[in-house]
Amino acid sequence: MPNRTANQSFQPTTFLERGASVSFTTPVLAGARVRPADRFGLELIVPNPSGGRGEYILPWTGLRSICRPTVHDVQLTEQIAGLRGVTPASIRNATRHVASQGLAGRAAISAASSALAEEEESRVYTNFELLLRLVQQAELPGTSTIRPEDERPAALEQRARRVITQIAPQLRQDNEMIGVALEGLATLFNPVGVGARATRARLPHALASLKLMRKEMLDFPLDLDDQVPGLVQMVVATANMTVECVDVTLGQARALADNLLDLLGAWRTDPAGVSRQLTRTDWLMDGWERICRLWSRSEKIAARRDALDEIGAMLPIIPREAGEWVGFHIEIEAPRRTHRLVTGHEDWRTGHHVQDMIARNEALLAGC
Amino acid sequence: MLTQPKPTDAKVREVVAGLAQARDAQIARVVAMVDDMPDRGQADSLIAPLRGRLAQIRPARPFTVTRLLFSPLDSVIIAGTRWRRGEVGIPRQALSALGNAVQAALPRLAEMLEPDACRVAPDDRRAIATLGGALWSTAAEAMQGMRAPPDWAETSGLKDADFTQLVGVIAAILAEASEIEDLALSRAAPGDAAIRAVLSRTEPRGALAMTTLVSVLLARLPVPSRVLALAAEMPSHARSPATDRAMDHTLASLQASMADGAADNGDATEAAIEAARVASLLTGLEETAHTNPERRRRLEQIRREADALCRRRFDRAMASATSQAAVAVTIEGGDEALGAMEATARDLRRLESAGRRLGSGEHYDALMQSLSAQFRDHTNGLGLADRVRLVEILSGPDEALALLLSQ
Repeated sequence: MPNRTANQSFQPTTFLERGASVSFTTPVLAGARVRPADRFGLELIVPNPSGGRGEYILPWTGLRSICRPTVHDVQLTEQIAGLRGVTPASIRNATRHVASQGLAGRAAISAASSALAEEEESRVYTNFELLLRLVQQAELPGTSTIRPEDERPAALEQRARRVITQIAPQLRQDNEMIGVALEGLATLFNPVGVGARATRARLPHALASLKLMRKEMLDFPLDLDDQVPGLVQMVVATANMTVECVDVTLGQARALADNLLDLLGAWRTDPAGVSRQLTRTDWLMDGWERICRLWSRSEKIAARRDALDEIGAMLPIIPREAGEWVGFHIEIEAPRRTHRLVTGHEDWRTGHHVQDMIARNEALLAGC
Repeated sequence: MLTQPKPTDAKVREVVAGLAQARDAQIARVVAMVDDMPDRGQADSLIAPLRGRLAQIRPARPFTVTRLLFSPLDSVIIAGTRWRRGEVGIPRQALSALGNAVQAALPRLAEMLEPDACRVAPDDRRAIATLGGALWSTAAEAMQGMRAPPDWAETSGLKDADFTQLVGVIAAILAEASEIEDLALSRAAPGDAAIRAVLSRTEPRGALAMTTLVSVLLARLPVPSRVLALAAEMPSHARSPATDRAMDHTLASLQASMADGAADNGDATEAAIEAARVASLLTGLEETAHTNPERRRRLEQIRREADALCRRRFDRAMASATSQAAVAVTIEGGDEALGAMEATARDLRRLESAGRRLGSGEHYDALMQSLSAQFRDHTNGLGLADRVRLVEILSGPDEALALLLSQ
């Protein structure tokens, strides 16, 4: 029997301890996260379903002890249980895989398919951008009269191959290994964004959405009821800190692409370390994309007021580890979740039914 | 009882007669034209006979300062034919003239609010409460001692004395409107102290104001039995029991909504929301009606009517779902058709949930199981995931998972 007592002071030190967000469609699982258990398997962290303070921490197999999950969520938990590591990217891939089976609706199938196609196209571009930078940084002077950025793609690829051959002895790797390394780095740089299309990458785009939501929240009528000021303050404070941290980690990640020779060297000796550094922004932004979608699709004041309650319950805690990443002290408390999420009263007023909430969560999954 | 102001011009009478035969789109255009008129006057009488059709057509109508002004009184606005002097209710035909009188007294405020009012969605109660907060208390003050405008009798069909009484009642509700909206929209159920404060402030404004307030509170707050209990504790209750008259008004409104519902627009989502509201209200009223056999009998009657209405609406949605399931064979892969089918299935679940609170649970069980079985046992041209989703919506995740695992 899982421990059903809400942990009143859930203050994770690291992001892995906080867990990665999971896009469940069962309403009571809003804001749920997954993390590795201390000894074996995974744990599920769910904001107190009653809306009170604290989180429930359950074995991954204990999902049914707190709710009747949707079929989509049952399949998603099984998919995640088979993962080798918990990261926002691995959970995202598992979510897309399950969505592509159609259990969250046809819009979610299309969204998963589009996201995969866009990610692949963007990864190819990022790979090309890294090759361009490699030529700019490592090509011997006088090799060509054409600037690398003005070169035709096929010709640039030829020049990049020559540069790889030239740097291979220095890196103590063969050409093929360097090519594989560049592809691995392109996958990690892809959501961060490098080069001319950097702002269109997934994480900078998500950051822009977060900033927009923060601005709109500051314009939200604070006198609507006595809980609004506290909720807005809590969300904006967490958003402010996240934005500050992400500005730093995005800069740090992109700076790594300014010296690809060193980066390729580091990748050879410590690929996990490089990966950890390049995925910091993903951890910091984990959970915010769903929150921003929830806010942006709520246009009316009433819907935004309801969204504020939900957002308050699923707000990503920023662990102290973030302070080590960015070099300044993180001054933010864990969100104080003291409001109710769903009451009979609201059901009376709005007619919301659990099926409507599931459909809404599926729409969030589909990016609608 | 208020008689409709009669269109005096023969051509106007001809238009009224012609509209009775008009198509929905034509009626919607006429309503839009009347809504655009700066002074609706007799034009209101053109659309008054069409209110039954309008309830079905639901044309998009602009929100205006007048609608903003009277929105706290929505639950007590009644057809002129139902209005009785001295009883709860604001006759719809008088709203235009009353609104014009208030706007004439507050021209700058009305002008300032008009652009924002036009942008408000009529069902966005929070936006209405936010915008109305700037208007209601000011209007309540401006209505103190207000005299009937010269054209009052002509435009409303009422006497000058009626103006004074209506304005007094409306001002009493508007004075408390922001507080009532706060209580109604609050996350938590309203407490006794807040309700008692609203009642106490309104009590000195007279019996009709008090009865109207209790009627409004019954319609807006999710705690009808507490509203009635607290109203019964007011000092004025012994000489003028506002609770009895407010309950009578509420019951009459419920019966009228049953009658309107018989000719509704077929929107199952709205029907489910309305059924849930009626179920909550009936439960609250039943808690307080045990000492009054006549009222209990009326409540039982309304519950039976509401239950029957909900079953009819459910059956209609069920018929639609069944025909959609049959059509699905020929439209394999159609996202739109599948979306419509899922929406209908959700409507059925909403109606079922609300219907159970009114009675007849067994009626819904059998039909839901039968429809769910159609998708479980037959492909209907749908893929497995689509069928699993439909079964999940209709019968829950356990049955849907069993279907998925059985294939």
